[in-house]
Amino acid sequence: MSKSNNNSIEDPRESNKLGRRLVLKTGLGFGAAAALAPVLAACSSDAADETSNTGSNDTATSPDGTPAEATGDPIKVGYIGDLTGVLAQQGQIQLNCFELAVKQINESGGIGGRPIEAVTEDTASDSAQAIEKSTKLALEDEVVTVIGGITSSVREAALTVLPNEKIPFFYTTFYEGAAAGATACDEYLIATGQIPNQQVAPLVPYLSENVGKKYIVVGNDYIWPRGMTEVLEELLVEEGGEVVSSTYFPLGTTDFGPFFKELADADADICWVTLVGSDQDTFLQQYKQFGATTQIVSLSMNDDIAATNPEISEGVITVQNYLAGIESGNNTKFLEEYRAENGADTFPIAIGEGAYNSVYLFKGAVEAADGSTDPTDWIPKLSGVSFDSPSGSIGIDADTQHAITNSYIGKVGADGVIEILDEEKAVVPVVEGCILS
Amino acid sequence: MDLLFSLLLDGAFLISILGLVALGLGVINNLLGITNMAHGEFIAVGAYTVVVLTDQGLPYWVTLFIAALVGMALGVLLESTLIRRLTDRPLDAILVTLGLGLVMQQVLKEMFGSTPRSVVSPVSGTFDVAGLSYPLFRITIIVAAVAAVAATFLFFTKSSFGLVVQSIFQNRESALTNGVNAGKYNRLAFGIGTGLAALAGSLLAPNAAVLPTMGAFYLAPAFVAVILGGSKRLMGAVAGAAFMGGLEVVIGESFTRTWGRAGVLVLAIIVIRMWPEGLLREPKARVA
Repeated sequence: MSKSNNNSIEDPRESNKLGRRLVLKTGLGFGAAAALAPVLAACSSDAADETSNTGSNDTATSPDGTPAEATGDPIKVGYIGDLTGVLAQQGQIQLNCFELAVKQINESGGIGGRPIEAVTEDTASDSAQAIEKSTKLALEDEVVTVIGGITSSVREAALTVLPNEKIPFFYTTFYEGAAAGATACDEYLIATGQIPNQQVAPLVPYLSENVGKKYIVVGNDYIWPRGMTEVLEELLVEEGGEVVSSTYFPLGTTDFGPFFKELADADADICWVTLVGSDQDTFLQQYKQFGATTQIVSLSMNDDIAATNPEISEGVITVQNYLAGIESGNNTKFLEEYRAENGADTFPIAIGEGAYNSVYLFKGAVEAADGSTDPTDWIPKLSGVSFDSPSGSIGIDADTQHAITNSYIGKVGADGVIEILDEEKAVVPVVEGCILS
Repeated sequence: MDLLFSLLLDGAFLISILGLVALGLGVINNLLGITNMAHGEFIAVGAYTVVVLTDQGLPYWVTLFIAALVGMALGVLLESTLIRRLTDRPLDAILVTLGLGLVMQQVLKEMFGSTPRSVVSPVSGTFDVAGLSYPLFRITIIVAAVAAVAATFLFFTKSSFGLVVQSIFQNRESALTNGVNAGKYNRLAFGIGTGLAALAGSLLAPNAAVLPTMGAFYLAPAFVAVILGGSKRLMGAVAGAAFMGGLEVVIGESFTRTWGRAGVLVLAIIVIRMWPEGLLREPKARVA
């Protein structure tokens, strides 16, 4: 590969650091910060544009090793994610995985000979920023697709913009599906994370058998945690279990003290945690201080958190479409390549693997559409693409445009390693009444 | 009965940290006449200081003092280079300190990454009161915070430095015309304010995920606490914090936790509307 080719991935990110630094605090609700944001965002986008144009028209190498001339302009792909705020850790890993896929594809001939040019934007877990950044990617950068997204509020916000501009959005995080009024069926939404019938439905029977059926819920106060409780309650009807109480705290809470009295009173078998990002870390820390012993099941647990804070993560059960402990040649290679870029002790996580897979699925679909980046050409090709991902072979279900994925139930050990306890292969996503094909 | 205890203990914990943050913010606001929008980042500075030093093997209780000193030193440094140029320009000061906060956040992020850090609590175990099991460590935090507030109070009421500061509080113009060197007092007052924020952060470090943005949770209520407290009394901010923290816990218990956060701000607006001077009134002038 050529050196300048590499730059086309890294430059937008470097220049975007400027934007991130300046727009950091807009989520805090201070008038001054909110007023500044549009100005600062504009600065960052200018910078991103200037640098990202370098390194576009150059040679790439085709998969068989012969140099392939890049024919025409690079394909612009946008990334949105939470690079600051309570989900910064997850957002950074998601971006790392996205960039890894872009780098690999560009090094091996791009998409039909055209390199991918990444444009990165930070949504800071804030709906207003998600709308602003999606609009910027669509209108200013004119990307052909957007990949990323963590919180459901950001997804919903992005979906108010991108479909109108006919830009498909690869959402890579597990979410509540059609529960709680969320958007799960849209011709411009492609989901590579799991929805409840793939994630929670395999988990709940496992818990009934091995732990218990009486749940107490603690989550953040927005659509995903509430939607997941809804799904859990429906599943528990069949299982004969119940949710005895549910408590929701605002995003960014640093004191969960009031919950622990409820936990003590509830006498539940399972503490169902849908707190996200650093709120989960804070909660686990206080859980230990309060000496609570109820089995924690957290959908937000991942290998990175477990390895960073093993003393508070030990014993937590989770279910994901990717865990670092998956034993396969693909995953070993993925871990090696991820760590070569990001450091020896780092871990990719499910939402990152989703972003990685998204780039490859996009490449597959565009190539199947004879290189056309018009979504009406390549979206119908998605269901015919299969990708040998780190978590196994995945594909896109034609009706829902959601990924058919494996599901892995894991438990954090004392050493901070998530041990895989059970798995279900190739679970087909179910969104009732959704027929997009 | 156990509900009462749980409300009292949860309230006391929230108020103790919030009180320290608000007191620091209040000292800066009352003495320098500016709003320190970077206050939350000083909380993070205190917390990261504890993370770094406990990693080096220092005992937690020692790192508390070092964190407070680091926060204070950084405050004094910033006051003498940046903040002192903003005297009598309160609106500019808001923008400058807001920008300063963003820079500090990014520096912390570059230094420590975006992975939340944690500190192991130095005191483990719980105690049982009226059927409620509560962590011992939280009690030690409450005691430490009360001690810090009391020490600050004594310093400002008993030392000659504090008495001069009090006189500036009550009438800035006449204190300055009587020969008070405002620069020196501003510098130290800003340092004390940021030192208190860093101390709050160091107390918070074993309780919450340590992140550059961790101060945000306390900043909005602390601002309101300072306004509620009024500008004439040092302890007004602490009273304001007690109002904010106490109500948040009670409303949160009665309705939802999110309403606890939002409702207390609504009530604060009503209180400020009815008593614009704040909860604690200006001391009555004594005529000789």
